[in-house]
Amino acid sequence: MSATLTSPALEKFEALKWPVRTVENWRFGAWKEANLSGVEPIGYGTAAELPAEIEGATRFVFQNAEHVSGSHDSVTLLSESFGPGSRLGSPKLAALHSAQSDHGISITASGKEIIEIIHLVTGEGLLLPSLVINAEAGANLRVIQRFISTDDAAAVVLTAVDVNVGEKAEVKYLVTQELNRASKFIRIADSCLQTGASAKQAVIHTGSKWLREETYSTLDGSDSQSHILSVSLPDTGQEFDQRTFQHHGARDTYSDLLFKNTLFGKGKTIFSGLIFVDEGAHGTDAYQTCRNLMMSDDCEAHSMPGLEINADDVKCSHGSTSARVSDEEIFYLMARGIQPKMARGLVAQGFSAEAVEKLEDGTLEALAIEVIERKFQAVE
Amino acid sequence: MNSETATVQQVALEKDNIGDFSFPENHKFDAGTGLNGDTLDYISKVKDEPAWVNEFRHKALAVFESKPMPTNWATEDLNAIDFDKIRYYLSDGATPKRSWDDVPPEVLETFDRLGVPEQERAFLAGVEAQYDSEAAYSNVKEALAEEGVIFVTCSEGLKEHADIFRPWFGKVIPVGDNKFSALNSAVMSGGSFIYIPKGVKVKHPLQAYFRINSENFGQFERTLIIADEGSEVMYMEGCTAPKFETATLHSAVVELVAMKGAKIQYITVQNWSSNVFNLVTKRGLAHEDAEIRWIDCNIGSRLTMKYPGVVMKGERARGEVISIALANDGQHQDTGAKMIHAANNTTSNVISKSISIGAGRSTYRGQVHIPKHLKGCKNNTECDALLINPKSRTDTYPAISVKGNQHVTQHEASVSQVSKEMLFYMQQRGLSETQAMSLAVNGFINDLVEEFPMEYSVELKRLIDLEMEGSVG
Repeated sequence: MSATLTSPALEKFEALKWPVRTVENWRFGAWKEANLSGVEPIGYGTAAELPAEIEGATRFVFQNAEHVSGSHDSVTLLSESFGPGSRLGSPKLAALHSAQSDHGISITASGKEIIEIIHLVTGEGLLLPSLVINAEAGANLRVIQRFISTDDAAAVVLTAVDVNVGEKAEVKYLVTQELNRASKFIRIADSCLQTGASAKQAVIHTGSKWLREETYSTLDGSDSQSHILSVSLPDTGQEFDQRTFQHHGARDTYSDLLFKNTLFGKGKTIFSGLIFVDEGAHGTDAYQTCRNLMMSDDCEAHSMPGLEINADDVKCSHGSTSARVSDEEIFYLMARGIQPKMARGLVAQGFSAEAVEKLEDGTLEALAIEVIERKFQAVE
Repeated sequence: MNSETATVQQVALEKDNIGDFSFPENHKFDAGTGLNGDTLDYISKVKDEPAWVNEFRHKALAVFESKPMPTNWATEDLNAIDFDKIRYYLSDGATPKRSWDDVPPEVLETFDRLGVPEQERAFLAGVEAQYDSEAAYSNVKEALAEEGVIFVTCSEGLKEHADIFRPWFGKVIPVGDNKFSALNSAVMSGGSFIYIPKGVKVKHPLQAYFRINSENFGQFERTLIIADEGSEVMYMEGCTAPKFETATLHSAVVELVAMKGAKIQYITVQNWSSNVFNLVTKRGLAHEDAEIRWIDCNIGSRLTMKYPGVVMKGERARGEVISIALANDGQHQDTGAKMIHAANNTTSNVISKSISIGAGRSTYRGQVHIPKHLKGCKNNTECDALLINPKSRTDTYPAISVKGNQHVTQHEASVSQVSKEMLFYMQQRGLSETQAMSLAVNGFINDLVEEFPMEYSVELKRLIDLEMEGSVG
């Protein structure tokens, strides 16, 4: 590459350093996994059987970086990154996405739409999808984004998403990550809410050997509401590292974060969250809860729920618990003729469902439950 | 500082704060400013220390120099400490006095200002009042001595009770634990060594007051308390310091060892003046069935960083941290707790309440660690923050690591303010806004204040009233 043609994004990427242990945002995290040097871009994908259609949704399908089907008036295809930033510890990864992302979609809508995006991932190498959601004033948008492996190769998916919710618009956005157990998944998600806007974002993680997710939600307009929901189901050989930031930048804003982790085998989770209330952001109402359900004696959960409050007229709370299914609950179900193992499974599924139910959308909830149930069947 | 200016300062400060005072300095030994190997040798020489202590100091200095400031997670304000401008050792050379009559009058005056009542002094089982780096007054009641309780300065402990002292010294908090524990290990002077023999239950609390009296003088006391099997002890320390123009550093290390079935309560009321950096490492090691409680109240200092910890090493050991922090304008109270579960069926409890006034900032930082293959461990953590003014700030950064499904942990935190309705209600009944606010704040921490011995809770209430003055309206 000649010097005159070097892209600023690539220069930035090269100047930055891979995460190291001493960066606070990587505390307890597997920072070495984030070093993607030497990972080659992924090749062409292959066709695979698609999941059942969702009623009323327009489906877009990508085989690796190639767009193979789907069109909609509100959607444009992207051929480069929108340029994500990382404020939660991975500027190098964000710069890599900026420099090299070559596919994705941008949704700009003002009406009522359901868009489903399926990323089929095949073969080894790095895949860099982008997603931009612009919900204009008054829009009512539902977006489903699924990551599905078609083989057992070790792929690395580094995806970034930018969600903008306009005045009084409403967005419900569900991500399901169902990659194979050899792959890595990195997701940098930013959202910004204007006055009176509402966003409900949920992620379901069942696959990948290691994932890192950085979710940054900014409440920029007053009376906006942000829900951040997550269900993680790691098993032996899986480590899920999730970092979140609820940024209250305006008066009378509301945010609620609920993370439900159910850990099997030697599964490991790391949750680090922060509620940040700007000076003057009075009337803030913010909640953050991370619950770990420990299903084995070898699983491991790290929780770092944080608060930084710079205004006094606020209501904020956070909580984190780690425990197993209580004996009382098992006893209750056994008294009704259910075997202990099944009873444990039922309680655990109910535990995950609690986060999903907060989406308050039948279509999205049904899909989320389906993905969760599949994982439960696989581990039980 | 000459005595005339000191008097002027006294009068000026008298109006403002309890615990703000100063008096003429008269130091026989002074290690000068700055820190290097010679400083350590000077301290060792003055204190006539065994060779192993001097060696320990030098090793610690090397660790201190090799460690970076922990600003990757802590406040940048730490960089304001100029280690070259600090005086690391001062002493008037006085040997510990045996009765109150021998104590210099200016020191007695200081105690008056600290608010130690006459009756209480008489009641005290033992007083270890630290005048700069050495104990200016030390009185162990004969009854205690008869029971075999050792209550001496740390320097005396390491020289005269080496057989008990050395096996535990630096074991709970190793030199390399953090930058400031290394600094303390290098320049430590003062502090207490306490040993409670098997089965002895000390009835009265043991007390020590620490003060910083010299400008630019950092106080680096080192305390080691060993409670042998089945014994019980309560130790109280109160810290105050006079005001000086430049920043001062206080960096203590406190190690507690509770043997099988022993109980230790360590109570601190910290009211350093608002230019002191108070960077303290405190940790206890609890063996089988032992219990360690840290009861901690931080009101003063510019920046306090203190996270008392308990390592629960034996089965059924119990750890507890009860903490109150009050941050006023220009203050940052960065406090918390560390609970390390290292045996089955260990339980820990952390309750932290903080109040931020004006532009004050309070931070809770906690760590709960339950490693693999243990069972029946329980932790409960609660932290509540109260914000008084629009510019007040509070942060909470807990970290909870749990491995396995045989444990229960829960963490809860909340942030709130004094509701307008509550203030309105009290004002309707004739209280001024300040009184109402003060009452609300005292109510907020009331259940924790009750954990303090009576005389401390009275003093605490008075200190909080003082801090609340002028915070509203």
